[in-house]
Amino acid sequence: MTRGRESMSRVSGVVAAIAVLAGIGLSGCEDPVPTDFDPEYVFTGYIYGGEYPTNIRVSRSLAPLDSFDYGISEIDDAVIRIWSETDTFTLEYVPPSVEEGGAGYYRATDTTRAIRPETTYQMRTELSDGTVLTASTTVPAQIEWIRRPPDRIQYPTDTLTLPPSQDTLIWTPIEGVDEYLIEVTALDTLEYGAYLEPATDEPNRRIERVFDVGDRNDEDVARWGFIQNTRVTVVWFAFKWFGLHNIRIYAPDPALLEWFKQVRFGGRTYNPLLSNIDGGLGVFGSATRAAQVGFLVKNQR
Amino acid sequence: MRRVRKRWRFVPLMVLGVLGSVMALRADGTESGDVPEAPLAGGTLSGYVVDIETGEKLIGASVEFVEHRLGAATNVDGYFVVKNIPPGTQQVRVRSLGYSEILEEITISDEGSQRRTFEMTPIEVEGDVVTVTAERDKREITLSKVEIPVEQLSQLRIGGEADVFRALQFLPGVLTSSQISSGLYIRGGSPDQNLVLIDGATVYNPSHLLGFFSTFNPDAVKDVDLIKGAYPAEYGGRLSAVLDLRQKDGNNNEFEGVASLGLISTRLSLQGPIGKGSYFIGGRRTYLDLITSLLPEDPENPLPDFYFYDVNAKVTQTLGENDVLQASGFASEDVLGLEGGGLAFDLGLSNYVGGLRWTHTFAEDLFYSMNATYSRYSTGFTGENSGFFFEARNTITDVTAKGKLEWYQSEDLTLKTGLDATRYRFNYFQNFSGDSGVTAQQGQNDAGRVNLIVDDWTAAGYLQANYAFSDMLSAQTGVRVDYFDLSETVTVDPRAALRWQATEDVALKAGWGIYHQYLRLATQPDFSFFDTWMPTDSTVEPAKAVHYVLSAETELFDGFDLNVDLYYKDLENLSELNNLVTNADNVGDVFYSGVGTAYGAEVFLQKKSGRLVGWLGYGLGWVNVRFDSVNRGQEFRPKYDRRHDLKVVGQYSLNDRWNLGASFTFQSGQSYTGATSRFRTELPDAKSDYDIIVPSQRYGLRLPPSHQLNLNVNYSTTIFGLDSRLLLDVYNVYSRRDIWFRFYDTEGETVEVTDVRLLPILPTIALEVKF
Repeated sequence: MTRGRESMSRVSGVVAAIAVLAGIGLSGCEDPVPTDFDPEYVFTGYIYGGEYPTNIRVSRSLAPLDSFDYGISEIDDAVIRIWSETDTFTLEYVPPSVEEGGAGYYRATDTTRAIRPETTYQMRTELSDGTVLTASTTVPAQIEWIRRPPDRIQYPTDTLTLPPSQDTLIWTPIEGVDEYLIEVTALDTLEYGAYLEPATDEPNRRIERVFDVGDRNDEDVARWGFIQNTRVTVVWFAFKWFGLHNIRIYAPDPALLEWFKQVRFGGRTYNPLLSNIDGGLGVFGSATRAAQVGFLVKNQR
Repeated sequence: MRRVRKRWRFVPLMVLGVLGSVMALRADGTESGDVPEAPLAGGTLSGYVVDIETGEKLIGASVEFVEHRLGAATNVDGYFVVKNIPPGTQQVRVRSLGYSEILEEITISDEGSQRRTFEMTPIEVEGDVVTVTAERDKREITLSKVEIPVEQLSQLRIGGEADVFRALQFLPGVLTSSQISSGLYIRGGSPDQNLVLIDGATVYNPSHLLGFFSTFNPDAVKDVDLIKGAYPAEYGGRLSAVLDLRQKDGNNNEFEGVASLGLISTRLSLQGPIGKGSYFIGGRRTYLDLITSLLPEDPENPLPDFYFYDVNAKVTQTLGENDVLQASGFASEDVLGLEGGGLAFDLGLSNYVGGLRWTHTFAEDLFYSMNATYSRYSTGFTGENSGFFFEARNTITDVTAKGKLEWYQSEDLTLKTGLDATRYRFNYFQNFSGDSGVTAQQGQNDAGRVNLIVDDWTAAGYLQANYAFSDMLSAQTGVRVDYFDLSETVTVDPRAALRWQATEDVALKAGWGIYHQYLRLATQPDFSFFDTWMPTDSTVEPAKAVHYVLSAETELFDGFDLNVDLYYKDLENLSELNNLVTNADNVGDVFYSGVGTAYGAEVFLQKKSGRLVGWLGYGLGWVNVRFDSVNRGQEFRPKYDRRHDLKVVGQYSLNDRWNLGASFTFQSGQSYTGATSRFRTELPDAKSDYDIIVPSQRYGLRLPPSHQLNLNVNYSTTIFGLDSRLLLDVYNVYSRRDIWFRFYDTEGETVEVTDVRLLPILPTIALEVKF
């Protein structure tokens, strides 16, 4: 009996100790979703060989769960300067159009001068509160088509197991660039028949696919690819619409390439290792690019 | 740790290390007053302990001479030796959990030796409560070692599927990344830091695709040892823990089989005598793919094809009195295919493991085992997107030879020494060129085509001694020396453990050890998708851990063992995968390197026998890591850090037909990363903008606690005269849908905090027939 009481007493002790510990666990395990907010400055700018600097944006980050308001985010009074050893660009702010809204951007005040390939450019942005953002980029050598996309590309008729395309795109290898980007952009999502001969009034439409999830970015008229090669077959998945397209190949510098990974593969979570901006977030990257317009003919199903 | 430039330097270093250990141990016991006197002369009893019904050798059975406090436990081959037994007629007692005790008299002659095989009869728990006296082995020094009878492990079913890893997850201090993941996070160590062995061969991917199930079919497993920390010198190459599984030898006496039909898979195992030994073969296969193939195809909503299988086989032959030869194999394969909309994608992974094991008894006190094993893990995918072909696969091939000598020098001193040598081949193949016809040359790394083959070898030697200073105090010391050829690195890992029998009922243990890990695994914590093993090259250092463990063991009251462990681990050169690297030149490009600590306490109350068996475990743990390139260089806790971990498992045998079981877990929520702000950015030409979240402290927040109750009922009956069991399981009884992961959904117009939740209540049924 005595041993039995001792045993029960020990068990009770253990159970009580575990209950206390479990209580601690139950009471202290969860953190609520935070609502506080720590704003930072963001610079997004790409410059291209043979083109003048434009579409450069400076903004401040907003609270994570608030509706996004360009009016609050956008900074329109930044002083931006981009320069190389031989050239300097000053930039001016271009406000968004009243009809379209959205974001404004900065562009070079002199649009007659262009960025030079194989040249290093510095960037300095000064904000009204004294914050300074800086970065640099070296523009790769000019990329050129060796085999351009054809003018007319016939989409196959089978929508389940699409046969391979016979068209291959080839471009010049660029020293120091191992990974290229390709952009396929629908130039007219409304008109289709207008580009045929003879012209018809047939409207354009999206290509419906099982794997398209229909989110906000699915409405983007451009599809991007990432290629570790200097040639690629025409991939049907790259087209979101039929009709007129611009197919553009990029030789990116490391900053642009890393930011591309940040945006497309980074789980939409900022990784400072993929940014080259000192003093803030974002990217100052460069590339050379070559474009070709082609027409994707419907499968007529 | 130091690097050497010439390969030959390794040999003297290793020899020195082993000799140093020998000297430190003063194994001859003649120079220290603390060491007992030289052994007395007497007789020797050696042999095997086996199951009388199947002939299966029993591991960990104790053989004791009652009057003289002499005894031994059987080793992993079921072998024991007791020396210095006073001559005369002695009473010997043989005990093993789940078997009737053997008590018989044996006549021992002076300086003579006898070989015996003890055949033990399994206990059926029927009628009155049967309490099996399974006294805690007072010679066991190894700390943090958990032994769960396989019969109990196989009762822990999830979704109707028994699974060894699933069962181990119910132990305190053993965590997972989620309830549907089978990867084991043990005391702050990630799954790649666990050494997983099956019949002595290393298994590199013990999970089926996506980690829902482990690759080990419990029907084929005879014994499972999990050492959660401070493990001895005979094991090496991993930082965290050892999971040592042994497959069933098979029934030596008669043919038998078991077939099981469940909702997810079908299992079949066969075993019986063959030649001078036995065989076992067992396998299981899922059949989701067979079901979906019967459904009409819907091009707009294609269904994936998925299946996995695993097969275990073993043949054991006794070659005379002193030799046993075993051949064992294990294979598993997963295939997932998806096709539609111009995209065809196939994903696969496989394990192929085979081995030969030869054991030889040179003398009754000198036991030798030799393993030659082959292990190959491969995973990869192929895809074709309207003519653009892409493919990647990675493979690790391990060919290992291990020799181990066990010398039972006396009742007080046991020495183990061994040499291991492993030849590795790492192969990473990638073709992202778009052309299916193009093959990459060996060593090629350009134009989207990569074919990297790295051949390497490692060697290790160890010496380990168990020494009893007295009835109260014993020690286990050892040293392990490893050599890594590719990085020309030598590591020396001393390890030590002490056991002090403080009272008749209470034993205190302390353990310390240094551990190095040479291999790194590139993996994602949530999905086991394209796990890639890599060696340590000259750009990174081998990972290192120092373990400190304190442990107290007691029999709280009859049949209830209580174990309390405190642990602390210092970690160096840890790996964190750089997810966004797409063009790596070396191992240092693929991983960030960091440091960390893990510490905590565990309480484990276990009842191994009787009508009611099971355990109650509680773990309290902290893990912190720091990487220069992650979280802006600040310390953070990993995702799998869970502060509290409570587990309760019970199986109750109501009568000879009904068996009831329940398991309950309660854990702190997983860590996740919050946000401090968000911004919009564009790709070139601003065709669209993307919301990017600026993260707060990495994994600085915690999800709600996770808890779950599972119930199972077994009903034993006969069908057409065959012993059968009907297995009813209810997974997640109160349908608690824990959060798998939480993320900021940036796809819509507004950013939303989104929770992806785990499975609701899931009842399943299965039928098992023995023949």
